[in-house]
This record gives sequence, structure tokens and C-alpha cells, in this order.
Amino acid sequence: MRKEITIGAVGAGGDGVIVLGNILQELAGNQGYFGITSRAYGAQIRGGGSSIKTKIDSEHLSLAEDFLDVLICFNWQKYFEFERELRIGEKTIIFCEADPPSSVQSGKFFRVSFGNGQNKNIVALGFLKNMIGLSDPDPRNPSQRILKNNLPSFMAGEKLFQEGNFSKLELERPRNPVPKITIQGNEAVSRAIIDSGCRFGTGYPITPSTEIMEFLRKKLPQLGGQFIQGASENEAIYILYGASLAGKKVVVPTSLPGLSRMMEAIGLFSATEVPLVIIDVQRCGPSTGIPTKTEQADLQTVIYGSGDASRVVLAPFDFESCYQITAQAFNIAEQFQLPVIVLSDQWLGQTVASCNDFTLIKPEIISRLKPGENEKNNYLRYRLSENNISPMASFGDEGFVYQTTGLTHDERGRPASSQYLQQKMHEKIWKKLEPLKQRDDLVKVFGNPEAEIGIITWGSSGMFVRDTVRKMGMEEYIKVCVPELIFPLPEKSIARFLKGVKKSLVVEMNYTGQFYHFLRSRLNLPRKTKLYCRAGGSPFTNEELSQAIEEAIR
Amino acid sequence: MNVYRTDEKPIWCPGCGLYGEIGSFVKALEELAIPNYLVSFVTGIGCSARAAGYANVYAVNGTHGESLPIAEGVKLANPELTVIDQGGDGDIWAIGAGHVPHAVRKNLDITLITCDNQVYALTKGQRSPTTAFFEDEEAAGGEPDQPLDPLHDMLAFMSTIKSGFVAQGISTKISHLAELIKKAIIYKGFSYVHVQTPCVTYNDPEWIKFKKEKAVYLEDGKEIILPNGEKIIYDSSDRRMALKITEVPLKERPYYGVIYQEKRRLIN
Ligand SMILES: Cc1ncc(C[n+]2csc(CCOP(=O)(O)OP(=O)(O)O)c2C)c(N)n1
Ligand code: SF4
Ligand SMILES: [Mg+2]
Repeated sequence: MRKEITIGAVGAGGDGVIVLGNILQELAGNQGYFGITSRAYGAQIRGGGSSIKTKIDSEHLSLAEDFLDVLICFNWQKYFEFERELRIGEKTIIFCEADPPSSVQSGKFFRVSFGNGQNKNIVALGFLKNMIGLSDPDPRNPSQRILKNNLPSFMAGEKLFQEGNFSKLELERPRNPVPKITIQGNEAVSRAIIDSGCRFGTGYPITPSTEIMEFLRKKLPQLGGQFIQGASENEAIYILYGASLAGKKVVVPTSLPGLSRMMEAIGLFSATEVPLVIIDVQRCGPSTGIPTKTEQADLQTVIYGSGDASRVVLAPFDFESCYQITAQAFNIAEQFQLPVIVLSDQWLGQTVASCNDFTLIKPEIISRLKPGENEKNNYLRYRLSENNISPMASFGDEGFVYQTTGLTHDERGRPASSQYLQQKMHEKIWKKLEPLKQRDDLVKVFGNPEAEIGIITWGSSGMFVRDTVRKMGMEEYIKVCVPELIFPLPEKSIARFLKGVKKSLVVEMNYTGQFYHFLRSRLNLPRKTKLYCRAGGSPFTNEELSQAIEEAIR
Repeated sequence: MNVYRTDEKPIWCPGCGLYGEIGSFVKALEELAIPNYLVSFVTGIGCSARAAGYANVYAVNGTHGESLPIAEGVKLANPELTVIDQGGDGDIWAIGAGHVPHAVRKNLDITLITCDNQVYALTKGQRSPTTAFFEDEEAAGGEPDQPLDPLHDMLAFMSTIKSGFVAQGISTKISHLAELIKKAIIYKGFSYVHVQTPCVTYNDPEWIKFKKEKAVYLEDGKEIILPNGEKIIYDSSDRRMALKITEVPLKERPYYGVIYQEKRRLIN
């Protein structure tokens, strides 16, 4: 019996590998197992190969191992497109329809025919189900309907395993058999958008954020809201500007090419103090890069773009954090009246996880401050106040008519060009953010607080680093800090983390070490601080991260 | 003081055509008597866009070329509002031109006004997409690109959706222009008013004079003679007739009045 297993599958376009991964994980998730499935696609738009890597764990949510325990290979030619993701080790058991090419040196091979019909993925599913000892699927569960309709294939797979006399790789019963929800980061973000009370969204299709857009397109009208597909990211973001002025909570999902086109608008939202949430699902750049693969290279763009425009940058690091941080984004945008950018990434967005249902606890909802009756007919949209937050009337409210402009303006919102106001309005849009820096709850710290080795990382890298530290058995000696609030940086909180830390390491997935340089510009890192960063294109492996950690400790 | 005017003093040059344009706009609102809090006035960047600070309604002076989607967003979020978008010839027909066909296509009940002075005035006199092309300029080494014709192009966009409202006025004829703006606002759907707005600083005075004096005023039921000699009894609901008007280049003959309106959407 084992606690966990890492299963890979690879095939050509029509082999149904993605469906295989999805159903396998849902089947396990319904029975209470934790799981994570990452997908990878070949370069061709159609007809390319596809692969999945599924981790099933009976105790907690953990990432897949570098080396597979089991590989289902429908097609060796396609395998080599995904060699890096689906590594074969000495102990890997491979079920394949054809003998492997001689270049494949390790692993134990078994020739199995999953049939040549279009249901070979379901046959393989029945096969795997028996091998790892899952219970029978529950036909009442809607997610398992596809199995109900393909029962003969599924059972043929079960039989194939039994009759082949293969040895089992049986999983322990899940420690807590409560059914898990199966969700992608993009869906967690989408659900948070809805649960935060946002009912107005726009978008322009761009991988890997499109799932969020499609969710909004379907869901918002059902809830009495609106979704508009723009003719460009410019149109998409400026429609939101109008809608937010008219009182709506607004959102747009995008990725770097689209985000870049929104930069001028971000300045306008900031200067005129209009709430906005942008979800940036990062992908490999620069320019078009690798649209389907992950990277964390948008940080500098969102922190520094658009001059001295005040803005907030948040970065969720796991699936639950996708949900909670998105909800925070709306609250912060509304409370502080500014653009908030949520940096997710392709891995987080499109990886499927089975985890405890974190959407059950609904977020607290904060809405923008509106002017009171006493301000009627003497309303100043940008009234200078102690906390620098001025009540915001919605277009159409009686008695609060105002004019606004991206030009430097006075308290009424009329254009002004004095140095005094230029300074004053900068103070207003920046000082209002001060309280945010005290939000210790937006800096997550893991491991032994007394540890003398500290790793600081952000976004989905946080999940990978924690996973590696755990697998190295070093939680006692290494602590990990993952700020979800990146800008403005909660400096005090991070300084507290660094107290007593003798050696530190910063980990991120971009070529130039953007976060590292940003951290160094804000606080003093220990003298012995190392950086591990590289361009994206494939997720971090345990091997590379443990090497980086060992080097930093040395 | 007029309820639709702020107490702000315009920064425009003395004699600028934009005074007449904002005057017409305010007159139209006054005559329609729409409460000012139910009006949203969205502009981009340019001399004409500064009007947002002078209209005492919910007004935005946004970024260059991006006013149309902002206006759409306001209307989508609050359909109760009367939404007017205004920009310069550069604002709407150069940097912002990509938004125009999509605004037509959405056919929201908003009004777009272009204040056309055939120049980038705010940035001090560069060519705009509507700057007229004269053959002698090319001879003198000028840029040989042809201007686009906003009326004609707008009508073409509207032809694809078989709907719309197109009018042209001149800001020196305030009452006439105010009538056009009123009709555009009343029209249920996307409406367009093209305003010849003299720029006394960068336009050739002869050109301004030409646009004022050589104009022909369109009225339904009234006979006009086209430059090619064809006589027509004008009917603004006839798209083909409207096309005949917009095919005449501005530098040949300006036409002012309602050029096209889809009947189905006329209220009153
Ligand atoms: C993105 C951007 N590019 C350039 C400018 C500079 N700019 C301001 S107004 C303008 C052109 C104005 O011409 P038009 O729209 O015809 O307005 P007018 O001043 O003639 O009324 C330009 C190029 C700007 N503000 N923003
Ligand atoms: S430059 Fe031209 S358009 Fe601008 S204010 Fe002066 S006259 Fe008017
Ligand atoms: Mg102009």
C-alpha cells in the first residue's frame, strides 16, 4: 500500500488523454483523494500530441514527483514531445501499445493493447482504476456520466488488468474520505469573481486566461449581470472604465500581450481613482512567447508600468489562494478606488486540482464608499480627507454631478496644472494605500518560525518550493515566505520573517529575477541571499529546486 | 448661470469653433430638458475633448482615442442615462477609429459627435485623417495621402447593420446644430453627428469661409441639385440617397442637415 502515486499518459490528438486525466482525477477526488493533474499540449494547434501527469495523494494536496510511477503510452513518437514532463526512472512501470524505441533505457515495460476504438482512454481508465485500487464509480455523480455511457469499455479495462496478472500499486484509503472538489485555478478565480459580487465583465480571448472569460460569458447573464467581448483589449478595458464610473464592480481577464495594451488605461483608472480588477494569467513571453506554458515574467510590467500610477498587485500561490485573493482584489479595488492586478499563471490557471472545498466559506464583501446626503449639491469628488479616500458617486446619482479627467485635477475633478496640486494628488493616490502595507494576513509563512534558512518566493512558485522543502524533509530548518500582496510590499511583515535568517534564497520563474530585484529595492536581504530563477516553459521540478536549495544552504 | 454649464472658463482660443459647438450641445440639452444628473458626456483628448470640463453633467475627459468604449460602458451599466461621446477628428477617426465599427455594430442608444477641424489642434497643427488633400500640395512636396470621409465611412458601417443616424452641422450655426444634436439624442440607437468646427489658429481662413458659404442645407422634401447636375427630392430615410450626398467630397460641397436616419427607430 502506498500513500501517493504519480501517473502519466501521452498520446496523439484523438487518443483522449486529457479526458483520461480528468476522469481519473475526479473518480479519485469523489472518493476523497487529493489530486493534481497538469496537462501539456504539443506545438501544433490541431493534431499535436497531448499529455497529462496526475498525482493522487491520500493525505494532502501534493505536487507530482519528477519521475513517474506509471506511464500509459499510446504513442512513442508523441512521448518525446513531453519527455521533460513525463520522466521515466528505473522504477517507472510503462504500459505501451508498441515496444519503446531503443533510446528509452530505463523503466519496466508491458505491452498492452487498449484497443483501437476511440474508447481506448476509457479502457485505460478501467485498467488504472483496478491497478491503484479505487472503488467503483458512482453512476449518480454527474461528473461520472461519461463512464456510465462507456461502461463496457471501462469494464474491459478492469478485466485487462486482472487477466494480465500485473502487480497492483494500491493506494491507502484516503485519510479523510470527504469528496473533494475538482477545480482549476482559472475556475477558482472565476467563482471568486461571482462570489465577490462582481456582475460586469469584459474580455478579449487570450490563452491561458480564456476559461475565465468563457465562465463570465455564461455565468454573468444568468445572474442578471453583463459580459461583453471587446473588439480588442483597449475596448474591453475602457468599457469597464465607463461601467465602473456608473457604479459597477468590474473585471477583465487577460495575459501579457493584452495587459500591455491596457497600460494607458491603468494610468487613467489610477489617476481618476476608479475601481478595477484585472486578472493576468501569465504565460511565457516576451511578445507571443509560448502561449500555453507557464512563466512569472509580468511582475515588472504591473509594478512599474504607467508612470507613478498607484496600483495594487496581488499574486495567489495555490488553488485556494486563487479564490481568496481574487475576492480580496475586489475589496481592495473598491475600498481604495484603484486598479488591482491579480497575477495568476498558466500552471495555476489550467492545472486541475482535487482539494477541500474552499468555496464553501464565502468572502466578506466590501463596496466603495458613496457620498452622504450632507454632500448633496456641494459634492467634491476628490475631496482631500484624512485617509485620502473620497466618496465616489455613481454616474446617474442625483445631486452629485461631477467632471473627471486624466489630466491633473482639483478636488472637483477639473483640470489643473499647478505644481501644488500635482504633488497633492500624488500624495492622495499613494498615501491612501498605507494601511494595506500592514496586512500581515496577505503574507503567508510556512515552516518553523525559528529556522535560520528562509526562502522568499511568489505566485505558483510558492507551491513548488513548499512541496520540495517537504519532500526534502527540511521543514524544521527551512521556512518559506510567500507574499500574496506584492505591491505595495508589506515590508515590515517580510522583515519580520527575515529576522534571524542567516541564509536566504529567492525563487521565481522568469529570466531576470524580477521579484528578487524588487525585494532588494525595498528591504535589506541577508548578505547570503541567492537567487534561483529561469525562464518558463515547464514547471519547476523537485530536482532543480532541491539543488538550488542545497546550493543556497552550502 | 446655465445648469448645463460649469463655471469653468474655456481654455480655447478666442473665436474657436468649439464655443459654438458646446453652445449647441448645451442648447440641445436645455431644450430636451433632461436632468443634468441623467446625462453622461464622455470625451477623449484634444481641444474638443476639453469640453468635458465645461458641461455640468457627469463628464469624463479620458484618454486619446478611447472615449467611445467608455461611453458604451456607461450606457451598458446604466441604460437610464443619456450618453454623448465627443472627440476630435484625430481622436475618433485616427487613434480611435478602430472602435467606430464596433460601436455601430453594438448599436447602443448613444450619440457620437466628432468636432472636425481637419487638424490635430492641441498638438499644434499636424495633419489629421480628415485634412483635405489638394493637388497643389503634392506639387509642393506635401504628403499625398487622401483624407478619409467620416460621413461616408460611417454610412458604410451603418449600411452593414441597416440602421443608424448620420448628420452633419457646422458649429457657427448654433440653432441648426442644436437641432441636429437633439434629433440624434432622441433617435433610439447609435447616432452620429459630424460637426465642422473651425480652428481659427490652424485652419486657412479661406477654408473656413468655404465651409460656411458653399454649404447646402438638407431638408426632407426639399429639392437639391447634386454637383453632377442630378436633381433629387431629399429623403433622409433613403440610404441610397444619403450615399449620393456622402460621395460628394467636402472640399467640393459641404452638406448640412440629417443625412440618414433609419425610420423604424424614430420616436416622436
Ligand atoms: C496616446 C496619445 N498619443 C498622443 C497624444 C497627444 N495628442 C493629444 S491631442 C492629439 C490630437 C488631437 O487632435 P484631434 O483629436 O483632432 O483634436 P483637436 O485638438 O483637433 O480638437 C494628440 C496626438 C496623447 N494625448 N495620447
Ligand atoms: S487651437 Fe484651434 S481648435 Fe484648439 S482652441 Fe485654438 S482655435 Fe480651437
Ligand atoms: Mg482636430
